[in-house]
Amino acid sequence: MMHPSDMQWWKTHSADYVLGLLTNSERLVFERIMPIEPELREFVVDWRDKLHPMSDALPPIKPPDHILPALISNIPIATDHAVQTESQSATHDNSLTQDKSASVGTAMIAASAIPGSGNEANLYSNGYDTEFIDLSTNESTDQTNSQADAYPDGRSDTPPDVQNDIHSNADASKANLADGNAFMQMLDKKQQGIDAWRSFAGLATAAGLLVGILGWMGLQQAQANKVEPTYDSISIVQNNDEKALWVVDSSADAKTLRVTAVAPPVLEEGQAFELWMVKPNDGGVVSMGLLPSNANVSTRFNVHRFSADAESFGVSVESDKGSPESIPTGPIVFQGKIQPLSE
Amino acid sequence: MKNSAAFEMQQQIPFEEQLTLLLSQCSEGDEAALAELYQLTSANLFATHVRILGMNFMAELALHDTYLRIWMKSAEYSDELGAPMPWLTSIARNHALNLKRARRAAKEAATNMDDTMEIESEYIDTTFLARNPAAKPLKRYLDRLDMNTRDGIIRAYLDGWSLEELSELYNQPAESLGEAMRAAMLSMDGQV
Repeated sequence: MMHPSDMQWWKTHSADYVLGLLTNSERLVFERIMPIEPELREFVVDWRDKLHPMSDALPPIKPPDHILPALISNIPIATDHAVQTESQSATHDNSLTQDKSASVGTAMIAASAIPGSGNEANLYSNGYDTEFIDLSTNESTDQTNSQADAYPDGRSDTPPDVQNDIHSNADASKANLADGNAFMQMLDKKQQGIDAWRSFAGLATAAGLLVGILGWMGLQQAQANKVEPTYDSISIVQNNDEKALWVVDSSADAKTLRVTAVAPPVLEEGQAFELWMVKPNDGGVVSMGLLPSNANVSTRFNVHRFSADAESFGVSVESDKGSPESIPTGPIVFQGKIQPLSE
Repeated sequence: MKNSAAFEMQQQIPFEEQLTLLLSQCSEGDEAALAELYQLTSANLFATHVRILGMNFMAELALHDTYLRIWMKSAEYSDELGAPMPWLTSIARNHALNLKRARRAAKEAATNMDDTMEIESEYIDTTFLARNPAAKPLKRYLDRLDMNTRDGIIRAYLDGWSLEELSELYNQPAESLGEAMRAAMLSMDGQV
């Protein structure tokens, strides 16, 4: 229950949320608290209703005809994929249930073109399965990469973040609380006449409840993942001219990436772009697979080692069979950081 | 597929109720309901995407993914979340904003990024709001605000501008601009 004196404070920041003025971390905290604070949801709905006439006043624009067939065809594909993912993963990952109950983790990957060299040291490769979807023709095929389950460095199939899932829920809540503290402190500076300790106490209560909620959400997620992987991040790889090349969606829960080629650069025959996820604290890089080269084609990667704690990534130029090593062997042509992202 | 009787019945019910019904059907896995929901709402949601992202493939991708999200979240929808069209629009808008923020982050990560933003200098005219009768109170209210505050609210909501971008556009400190926008929002109560 929200303290009455905090109502105006939350109402103000609900307006910021609906306008889109909160930062990424603020928005993440806000969206974590919203499900457990009915008054907050009411504020959001109220602001949304107040501002909606602006959206409603925009002249409608008929979308291209090919989108609806692609949309409809992708629903069963995604469902089939989710089932396939589960069965494939089960062959080498008996902690799948824990994996699927992992706490809600989101990330936004943003990349830009840079000249430069590759990543170094403490590196290992990863297996991945892929599924191709052609948004322009609505055709799709499933492909299982021959590298699947092959970890040359002999590491366990189950990455530590999956094995320690129960802890990751608690850690996520702590992280949320930490973010929340920063959020509250920062916003307190902008608000006069608000009892700071009371606001903090309100958030602490909310965060305490969040521990339980996240656990519950994890169970719900386990059910949901049997039907559809939820892409909770959006990423754009663009060149120096700010032209989007690929869009990367990822789901840490479903261990799935979807890469859509918007305008991929042309490479020489026999070459391909390979996506590498870089883990924090010099944790090494993990191959996410080869990027699609045909425009308007989406590729789904079932990447068992994709995790929410990855903080950056790189794109290297490799042979069309991928890097022969567990590290990039070609030049890194794009690099960028991964940021938390709201829903 | 939906039979004609059911289809006719849906044609007779109010638009908002129709959307609510279709969302309920989506939550039960009815793909035809999603297709119908798309037919009824996609031009409006696509306008939101195009406004934020421009008329390009990104907007198309955003529309495609917005409806996948709607499909996934349809079971969550209830009256508590407000009328269906603002809820659908919020999903579309949030998704477009995600793409816009990703673009922004990618730009910031560039080592040789151009520091100058491509920004328009003209103020936004609110006459477009006159097209929507329901928007008249909002238009009246916005027109009474000072230009920076009014434009800030419109650009943030419709175009997905950040406070920093707005601050640069108006050459006004982000903190004071944000305070002015917040104050204006709070003053809307009872007037919009």
